[in-house]
Amino acid sequence: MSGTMKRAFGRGGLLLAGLPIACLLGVVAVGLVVGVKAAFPEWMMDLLPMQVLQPLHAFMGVAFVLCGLASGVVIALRRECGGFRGDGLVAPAMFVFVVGSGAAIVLGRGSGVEYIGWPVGMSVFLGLVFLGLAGAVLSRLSALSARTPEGAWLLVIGLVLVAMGLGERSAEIIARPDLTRSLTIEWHALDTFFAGWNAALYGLGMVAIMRPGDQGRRLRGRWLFVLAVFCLLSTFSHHHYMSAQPSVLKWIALTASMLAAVSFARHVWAIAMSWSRHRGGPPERAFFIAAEVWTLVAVGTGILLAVPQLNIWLHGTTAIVSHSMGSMIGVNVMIVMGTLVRYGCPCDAVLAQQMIRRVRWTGVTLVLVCVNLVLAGGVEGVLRVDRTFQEWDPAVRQWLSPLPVLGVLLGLTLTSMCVGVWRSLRTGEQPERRAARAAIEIKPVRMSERVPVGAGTGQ
Amino acid sequence: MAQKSNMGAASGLGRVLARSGVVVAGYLVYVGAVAGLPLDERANEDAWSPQARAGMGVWREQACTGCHSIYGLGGHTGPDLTNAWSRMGEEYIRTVLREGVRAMPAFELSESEVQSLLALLAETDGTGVYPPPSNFAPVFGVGR
Repeated sequence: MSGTMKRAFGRGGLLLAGLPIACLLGVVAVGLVVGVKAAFPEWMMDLLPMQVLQPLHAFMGVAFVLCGLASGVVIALRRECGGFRGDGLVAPAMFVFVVGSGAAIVLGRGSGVEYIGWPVGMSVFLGLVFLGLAGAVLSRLSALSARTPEGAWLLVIGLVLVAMGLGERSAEIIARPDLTRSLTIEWHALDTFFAGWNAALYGLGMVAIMRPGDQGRRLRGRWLFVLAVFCLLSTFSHHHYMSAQPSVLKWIALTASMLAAVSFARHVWAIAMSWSRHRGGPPERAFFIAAEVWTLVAVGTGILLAVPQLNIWLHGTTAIVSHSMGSMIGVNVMIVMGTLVRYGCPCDAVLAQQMIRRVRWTGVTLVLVCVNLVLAGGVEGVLRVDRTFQEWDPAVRQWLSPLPVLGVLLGLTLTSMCVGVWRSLRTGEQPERRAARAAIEIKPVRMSERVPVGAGTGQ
Repeated sequence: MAQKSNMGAASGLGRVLARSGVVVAGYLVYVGAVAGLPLDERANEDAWSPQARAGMGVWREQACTGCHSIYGLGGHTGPDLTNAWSRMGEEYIRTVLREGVRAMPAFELSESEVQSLLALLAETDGTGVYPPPSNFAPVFGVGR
């Protein structure tokens, strides 16, 4: 088995592919218990306290994305640019991070903050790994940007922002300023961290779907770029309009969040234009199409939730959980899995059909879970205005009672997807099939779209 | 032809680096703004006592965010605690910490840790109201 992985991904291939998949299965396992606890909080209180389960669930999700991103960058650089010095150390470093941080959280030695629940020292270690990866991408940047300028720059800046977000969050944990300032920094750091991994994953996806000879999308025009940077860096304040953070940041966040509608409209247009071409093709196509569709959902719901009156109503309820779950499973999971399939699986029609089925069922169950969370969140938003927690909580728990069943379904479909991908990776991609793969275009590029790098940017 | 291709790659590289520099600069400007801009007058920074600061330490050591939130940021199993101080009162909070209630276990905290947590909740309570008292509350926060 390890020989097949080594052929596809290079040295340490088993760990590169296995670590993100193991983390995803870990999220599923812990998530099933958390789903039951959401509906029945008093179930097995002593043995399975939420103090451990909630941070562990969030950690496993974050660990999946980070391991998937790190593995994807190593694999893509090896396959596209011949690798880089020290690339064999990345997977073992991520393994140390996952095992060390997971143990710390289970033993109650975590940081006690949301999403970055591991000890602060681990953040330093992780930040160095991601800065190292950013350096590796920079060292191969000319080769990557010749293929896909936009993908290359998203990859670089995404990896750097991940490290910066980690640094900012760690500084806040150590300095512990006053509460409002702490909340503001917390969300600024987390948004930077999330924006970083999303940017890097989109960049990785763009590198992965390129065929030899393709010319990827050129860099955006100056003003569109400025708009994207503005939105990327300044939407974080919409997470807590109600707190006493600086008012000017709230107004900027509101403006930036509403401007994301431009991105939403462009995405709708792009999907509409390319929809007719989304048929057949290699096995990874199903994952990247799912990522496209869920990006649309994530951006759309993000804009809606940033509308102040809706935000006041739904903020802090399970409706917000559905937004982040949709983004993480629908976008992040799909890009990581799609990248593994792209570089490690045989390219045949039977496997492609199998992947389409598994991705589709994952999407259906994810929609059901999200709808349940939105409905329960809506009920909470209405009831909490004029009732105490003790009065409205039982009603919300009733609305959440389908969650354990729906969670099991989602867990099963995700597990089935992991098993399918793992089995296909074991089969491996034979050299002759790799050559055949190059002939299949995932996104045919018309001659009219082959614009020289930098043309039309006004620079 | 090859020379033209190399020039294109170099130009692409330069743009990638320049644009990455713009994003990093923008990020640093924002970090400065987040750390330095004056807070809304509801948040009196001088009122943040060393005891409340220690309370934040206890809050994190005990992983309170696993179940509770402040201003909606945190877990969903228990109530949001932004205004727990004024809505539940000191005695109720002490009793819950000591004996537990429903899905919340009892915590074995020292008196100084309990005092720190109470200080944290009392000072947090003064910074605003959450959840809002009406769906038509002022968009950017309600003072006490």
